[in-house]
Amino acid sequence: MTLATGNNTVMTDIKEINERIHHESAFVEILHLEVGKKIIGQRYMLDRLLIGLLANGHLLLEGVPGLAKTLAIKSLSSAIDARFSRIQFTPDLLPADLIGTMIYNQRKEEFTVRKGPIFANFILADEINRAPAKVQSALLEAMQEKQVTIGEETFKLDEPFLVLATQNPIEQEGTYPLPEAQLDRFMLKVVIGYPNKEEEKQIIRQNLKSEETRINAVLKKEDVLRARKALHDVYMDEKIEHYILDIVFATRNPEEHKLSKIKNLISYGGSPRASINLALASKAFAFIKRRGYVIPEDVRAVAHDVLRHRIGLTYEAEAENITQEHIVSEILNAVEVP
Amino acid sequence: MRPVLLLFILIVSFRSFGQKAVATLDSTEMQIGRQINLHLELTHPKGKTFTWPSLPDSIQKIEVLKRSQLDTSFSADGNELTIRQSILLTCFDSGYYAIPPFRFTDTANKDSLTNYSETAPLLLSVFTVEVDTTASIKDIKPVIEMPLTWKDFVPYAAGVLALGLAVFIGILLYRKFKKKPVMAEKKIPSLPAHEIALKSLAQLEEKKLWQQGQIKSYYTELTDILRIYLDHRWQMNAMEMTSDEILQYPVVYKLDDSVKNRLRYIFTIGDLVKFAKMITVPHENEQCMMNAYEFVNATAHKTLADGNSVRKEEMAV
Repeated sequence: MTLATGNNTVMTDIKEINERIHHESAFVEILHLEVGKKIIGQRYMLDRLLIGLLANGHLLLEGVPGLAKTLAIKSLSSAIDARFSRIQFTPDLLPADLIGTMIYNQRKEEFTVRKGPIFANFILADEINRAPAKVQSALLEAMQEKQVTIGEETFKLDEPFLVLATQNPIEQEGTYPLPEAQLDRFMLKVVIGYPNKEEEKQIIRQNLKSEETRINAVLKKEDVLRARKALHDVYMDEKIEHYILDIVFATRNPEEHKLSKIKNLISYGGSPRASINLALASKAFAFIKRRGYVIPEDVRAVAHDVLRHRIGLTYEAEAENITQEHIVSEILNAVEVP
Repeated sequence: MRPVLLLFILIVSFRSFGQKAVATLDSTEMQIGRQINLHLELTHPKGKTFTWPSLPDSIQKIEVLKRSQLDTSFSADGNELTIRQSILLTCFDSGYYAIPPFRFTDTANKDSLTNYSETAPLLLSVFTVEVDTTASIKDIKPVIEMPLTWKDFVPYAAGVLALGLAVFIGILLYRKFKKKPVMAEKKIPSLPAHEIALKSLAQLEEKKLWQQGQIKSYYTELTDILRIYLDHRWQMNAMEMTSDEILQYPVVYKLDDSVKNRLRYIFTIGDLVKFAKMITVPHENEQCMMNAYEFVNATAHKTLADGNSVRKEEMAV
C-alpha cells in the first residue's frame, strides 16, 4: 500500500517521508534474504529482531531449546558485519565475567582493563534466568545505560548494541526469575513457536547439505544507525497515539474499556515505558513493512510482544490458567480501532 | 481254689476303691469345623478326693474351645459323689483322632499303683465336606442381618447434608466467578442494518464535511458507518478490527470481488487520510461515498429486520 493512489491525489510532506522510508528500508528484504539462507521460517522472530535493532530496544526470547535462537542472532550479526558475543548464563557467573575486570600487569606494574564479552554489538545472553540477580542487574544496567564501568573507567558500548536474552520456559528449577522491574527494560518479549512441517523439512535438508552456508555481510553498522534515524521520521498520527494509549490504559483500568471481567485478573498494568515501546515498536514495524506512517495493524502486530511481560497477573488469573496472552487479546478485541 | 480267690480280690478291690471314670463324646463323627462335647464323669465314694485331669488346649489336632465348670452331685443314699465336666471340642483337619484316657488320681494314696481311675480311650472321626467344583463359591452361612437402628442412618444423613452444602457452595461460587461474555450481547437494532447505514450515509453527505476541508472527519465518519453496518449485518465486532482484519473476515472475504473491492477502496483511502495525512481530491471523496452506497446496497438484500433471521442467514453465509 502506498500513497500514490491516483493522479488526483494532492501529495503532502508525508509522501516525501513515505518515499524516503521506502528507500531506507530497502535493506530489510536483502537482510531477510541473506539471513534466510541459514534460518528457515522464523520470519516472526527475525522481524522482531529487526524491530529491536531499529528501535534501539532489547529482546527477551522465550522458546524451547533448538528453535534457532542463537543461530538467528549470529546470522543477523554476520549479515550486518557486527561483533557478536554469546554469554551462557550459569549460576556461578560473576558480573566481572560479563563486563570485564582489571588485570594486574606485572611487567608494566599497573592494572589494565580486560573488557568482557559485553563489548560487542549483538549479545546473546543465553538462559539469563540461570544467573544470580547481581549478574542479571549488571547486564540490565549496561542495556539501559549503554555504558560499562570497570574500575574507575567508564566505557561507552559500541552502537548498535542489541541484547537478546533467552529464557527457557521449561526446567525452572534452580533459576532466578527476572524481577518485573527488570523485565520492563526489555522492549519486546518474543515467544517463539515450532516451525511448521514444510519449514522443518527444509531445515533438515539444509542441515544435511555437505557444504556450509555462509552469511555475507550485506549491511554495515552505519546503515543500521542511519535506519534508526529514519525511523524517527515515520509518521504517527494522533489517532494512533490515542489507540496506543487506549490499549495501555486498558491494562491499568480495564473497567473503563468495558473489560470489567478482566479487572480481577490483572495485578498491575503496563507502565509509561510500555506506551513508549509500543509506539516505537509500531513505528519500527511500519518501517520494516516499508511504510512511512503507522496504521493500527502495526500496533496490533507488536502489542503482544510489547505488553506480555508488562502485565502482572493475580492469583485468580493463575488459578484459572489465564495468561498475559489472553489479557492482551481481550484488550485488543475490546479497544476500538480508529 | 484259684478262681474263687481272684473273684474275692476283685470284690474287695471294688469295694475298697469304688471309683469310676467315664469319658463320652456326643458323637464319634463330626464334620470338619463343627463343634462337639466331650463329657468327663467321675463317680467315687464319699470322703475321697481325686485330682481332676488338666486338659491341654489341643489334643492332637482337636482344639479345646471351652471347659465347663465342674458339676457335682451325690447319689440317692449320699455315699457316692459324681463329678461331671463338659469340654467343647472342634477340629479343622479331617481324619481319625484318638482321644487318650483321662486319669483321675486319688490324692490320699499317691504312691499306690491302684490309686487312680482312667477313662477309656475314644476315637473321633472328622470328615470333610464334599466340594462341588462345578458350583460357585458361596458363604457357609448367610450374612446375619442386624436390626436397623437410628445410628445406622447417621452417616447417610451426614453425607446428604454435606452433599447439599457442597452443591450450595458450588452454586454460590459459580455465580460469583461465572465468566461473563467477552463482549456485551449485541442489541439487534430495530431497523435493518442497511437502512441505518443508508440513513447515516445520507446524513454524512448533508454535513458536507470534505467540502469544508474536514477530510479526516469525513473519512473517519464514513469508515465508522461502514464498520457499524458490518457489525450489525454480520455481528463481527468490526469496530474493534483493523481494515485488513475486516477484509480478511470470512463473510467479507467470500463476497464478490467487485463488492469487496469497493470496501477495500474506501478503507485504503480512509486509512491514508486518517493515518498518513493524505489530502484527497473531490472526485475521490465522491467515489468513496458512491462505493459505500453500492457496498451497502449490494449486501443489503439479505438483511432482515428480524434479528433471528439475521443470525440464521449469517450462519448460512
